Amino acid sequence: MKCIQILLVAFLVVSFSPALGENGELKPVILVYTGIDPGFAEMLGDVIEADEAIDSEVQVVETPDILSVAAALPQTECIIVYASNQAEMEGLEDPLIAFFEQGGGLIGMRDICYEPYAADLAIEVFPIHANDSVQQLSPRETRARTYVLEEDSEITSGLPEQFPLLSMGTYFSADSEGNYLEIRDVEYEVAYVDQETGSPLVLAYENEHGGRSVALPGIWTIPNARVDIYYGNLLQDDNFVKLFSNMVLWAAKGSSRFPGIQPDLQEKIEEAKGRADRLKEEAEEARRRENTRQLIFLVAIWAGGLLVCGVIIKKMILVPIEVEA
Amino acid sequence: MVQIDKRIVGLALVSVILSTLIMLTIAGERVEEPVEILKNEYPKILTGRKSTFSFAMVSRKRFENVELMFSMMTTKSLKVKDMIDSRKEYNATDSPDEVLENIVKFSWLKNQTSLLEIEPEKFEREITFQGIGGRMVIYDYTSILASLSGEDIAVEVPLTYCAIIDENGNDYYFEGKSDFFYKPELNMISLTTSHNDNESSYLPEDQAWGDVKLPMSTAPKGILEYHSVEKDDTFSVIYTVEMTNTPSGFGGPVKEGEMDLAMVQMIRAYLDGELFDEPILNLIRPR
Repeated sequence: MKCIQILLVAFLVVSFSPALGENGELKPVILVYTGIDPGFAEMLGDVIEADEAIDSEVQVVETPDILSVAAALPQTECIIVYASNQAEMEGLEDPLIAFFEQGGGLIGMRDICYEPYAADLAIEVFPIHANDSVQQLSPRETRARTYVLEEDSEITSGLPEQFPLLSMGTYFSADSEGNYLEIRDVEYEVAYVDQETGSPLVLAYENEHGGRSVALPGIWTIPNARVDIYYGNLLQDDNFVKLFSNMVLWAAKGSSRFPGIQPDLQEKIEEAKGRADRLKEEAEEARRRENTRQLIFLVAIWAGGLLVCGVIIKKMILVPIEVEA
Repeated sequence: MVQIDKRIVGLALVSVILSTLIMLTIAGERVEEPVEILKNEYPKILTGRKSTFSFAMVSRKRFENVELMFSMMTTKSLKVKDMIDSRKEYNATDSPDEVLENIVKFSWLKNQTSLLEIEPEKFEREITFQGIGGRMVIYDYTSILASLSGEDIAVEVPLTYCAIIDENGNDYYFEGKSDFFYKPELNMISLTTSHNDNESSYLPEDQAWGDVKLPMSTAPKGILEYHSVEKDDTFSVIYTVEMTNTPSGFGGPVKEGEMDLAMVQMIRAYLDGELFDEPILNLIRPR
């Protein structure tokens, strides 16, 4: 176990290609995190890497801690999270909200759309406002959600109007009787709705800062290859692969954060390195001016003083001596 | 009436004038401490009860730019996945850097930032707490990443890391971010910052009113920046906390010979971009 961890970290550390290219250009990074089982993240990462339209570097991470610090890095373009419980999202709320507010791209699946677990992430970033769920626990029947087209967009491009995707259930906002309750105070786009509940299964949202998010509350799989809703089976479905690629393209390449940071990053790095020196130089300049002013003032005082001394010496010392002589 | 010789009066006057000039010259060249810390009070033990932190400073010179940075680092319960080698043990001669390098997140961040050819600020200090000596190291990525990605995000992310190895070989790990306290929106019940007579007060959202008492959500996140600071300008920060939300591992069991340390507060003053003295470190117990 220990060896595996050391190897994994070594792989994580060594496999990163240099973030800055030869001409100082920064390569965007898409991070994928799927909770305790990184297998799903690796498969999602493979889908992204196979898409020629996405030129970003893909990194699979195993802890939410890394996602939280990645949110502050300039090369982070998009963060993809699949969470199957609350603990897998620990510490993510503030960093991901700040990342989205800054114009970052995010894709959230399953529990990150559920308000009791994800808190403000399920409101401000993935505005599903989910407080309820439907689940198909029995594996005797096919466990899937049926995606029904609601609104054509880049995300639905090349996809049928209706298709099923393997899933154990979905989250949605519900009234007191458990019926879907539409959230009306946020301007989002619903690409697909759930045939059974009418709730959004693919919800795209762009905030005023150019941050783009896609919420998928109905991607609900299990890390066990022997069950029907194993994530590996979902990845075999061309509709899911197409849908996922479309979403990454829309959220990562259409969000504003990376294009906003990238162009003058090299200058910013140099400026950051030289910030203390620049402040010191400015302060030195101000200090030189102040010292010169003080020196002039002192010279004037001395000149005045010596002049007065001269007058006193002449009038009070030399003149009486001359008179006596 | 006694007649005083004019020459004596003249000599006396000349002496007075010259000595005044000399005194003025010496006084003008006197080197002072650039700032003076007037107050740094903090609770040595944090419980659920109200506790107040207060900090005050006066400038003894003019500055174009003064920046006060408050960071709060707390203990964190590490899971196996958080460490590169979860069984790693240390002895008293090991470097506290080794503790940080064994943290997956820290190693990842260090690697990512080194690819960008940027470095964090690093501080090292010998400490004694509860009679136990130790060596401490702190790495802070806040300023450098704020310059590149923006301050708004840099203050929301834990970018300050601290490790200690004590004289008994025990290791300690803390992490935090730039702020006056851990989760201020939940734990802080008042905050007042001032620069001379210019005062800003912040209260929890439900108690804030008008322009006089501002909501805590609008309070600065531990970074206070002032421009064109004059000699004898005063700065103060006073805040009260009532800890209802604690970090994981806060107040956990400690073995004999271990420090019962829950929080490390770091206060820095940058005077025209240059760190004044060493960072102030306030060490806080959980009980």
